[in-house]
Amino acid sequence: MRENTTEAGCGLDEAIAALVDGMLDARAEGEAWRHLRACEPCRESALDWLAMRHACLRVGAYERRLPGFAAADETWCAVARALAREPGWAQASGRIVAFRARRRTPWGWAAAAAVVVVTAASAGPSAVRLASGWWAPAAPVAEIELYWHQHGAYANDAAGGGLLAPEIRAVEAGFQQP
Amino acid sequence: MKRLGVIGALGGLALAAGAARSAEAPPALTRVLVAQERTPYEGRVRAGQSVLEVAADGQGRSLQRFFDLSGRSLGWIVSDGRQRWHYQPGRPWIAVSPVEPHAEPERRAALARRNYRTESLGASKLASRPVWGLRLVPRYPGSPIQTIWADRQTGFPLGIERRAGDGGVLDRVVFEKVSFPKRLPASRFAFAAPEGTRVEAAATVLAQGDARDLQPAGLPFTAVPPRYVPPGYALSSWQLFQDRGKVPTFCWRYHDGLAALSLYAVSVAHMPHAPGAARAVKLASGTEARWLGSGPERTLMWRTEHAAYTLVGALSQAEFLKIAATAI
Repeated sequence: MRENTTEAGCGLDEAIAALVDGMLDARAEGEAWRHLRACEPCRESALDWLAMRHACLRVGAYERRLPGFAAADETWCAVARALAREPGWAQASGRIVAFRARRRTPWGWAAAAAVVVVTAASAGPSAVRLASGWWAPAAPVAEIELYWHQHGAYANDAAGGGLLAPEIRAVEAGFQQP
Repeated sequence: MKRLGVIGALGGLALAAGAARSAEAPPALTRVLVAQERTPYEGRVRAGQSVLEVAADGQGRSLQRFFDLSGRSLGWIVSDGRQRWHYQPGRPWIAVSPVEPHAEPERRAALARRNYRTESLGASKLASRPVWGLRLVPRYPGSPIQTIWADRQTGFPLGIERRAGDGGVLDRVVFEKVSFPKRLPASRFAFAAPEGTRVEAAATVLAQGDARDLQPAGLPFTAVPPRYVPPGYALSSWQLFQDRGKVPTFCWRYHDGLAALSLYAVSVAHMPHAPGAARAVKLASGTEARWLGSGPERTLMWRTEHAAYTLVGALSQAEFLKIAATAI
């Protein structure tokens, strides 16, 4: 069960949680956006939830062997862009770690430590690495957009800096995902 | 409407080609590739769904400003010949990356002459200038057929079109307007970072070399280059880099004189997500792979026990699958 609270206590907790879930109508969404632009703590809180949601979707898609999706396709990225934030996976990962650390109570930390000890004793270090997924984010994945940009740039440079389609198409792909 | 105009102009070029054939000797491929690299130019280019304002000083500096068909800015790329800066609106950073080493145009032309047969398409006009058409037909199956419309006075390519073996157009870049000033000042390539943006490395290069250099040992994963490389392609360079998420990545670059092929390897845990439009295909070994035939470039992704690979280029699907089958 998710807590529908932000750390700002502005009274818009429900609205921001619903915004993250994409459940607001246009008018309410407009109000939530106006508030987010003006209120730093609520903005931080909303970004935390978006980062978590983004991570869950990515891991879920991977585990169920569903077609992958780029960060640029996700709400996280759109919102982060709108709030002039960096939409990269690295920042999302850092945000998730900090978010979990902030939210964990002393009892939570004790429980996490107990899980490490018990898992290590019963199933070995690799199981610890597996179990650690619930307090540390999964390994960052490489971004295919970088490959397309690099390849396009190489094709362009290797042609003497002339203008070639692979680089132009890589730039277009940043706006129109294939 | 504008798009139809460009397509019509290209169609007209193809028709006019036969009529004017053999009126005059076409420019040699070497002249075209040298002119592409060393001629100062500025102008406007149409490519796919983009319009670009472009300039280059013939000594490594270049500038490209991207717009969509409605005139909305899609960002810019500026290069000083050693580094390139890429800005995309909406992103609070400007990605900077080193320009990778590449062969001189004379060497590339020699390689291209071995791998492509040249057919003259005769004289025509493009961007209000007289041009010569050259069709470069690959001697080996799988590579695209390239058509270049080169300026008759300078040899500079004013139009480049790539077609797959089945005749379908892969992409097309055409100058709508061009001029060839004697020189362009350095200030033409200066850029101002938009307010609130910072410059950040798109990737950090840890090691690089060309075909003669040994690849580094001690990678955090086992990356094996493919045993099969399409005929005509040669290993040009390799690179070990970390992306912004600190993912160690190994990359091999291949070139056939005209076209490039890139193979990326990361550990299995860092395998990138396949684009939504990619579809499942099977390698000869039965290994499942993902194929994107209509992205920015054709892309094949697969993984082995030790590494995850992504191959990017303009070859046919059959060639992609053959390469992948030997990098298992």
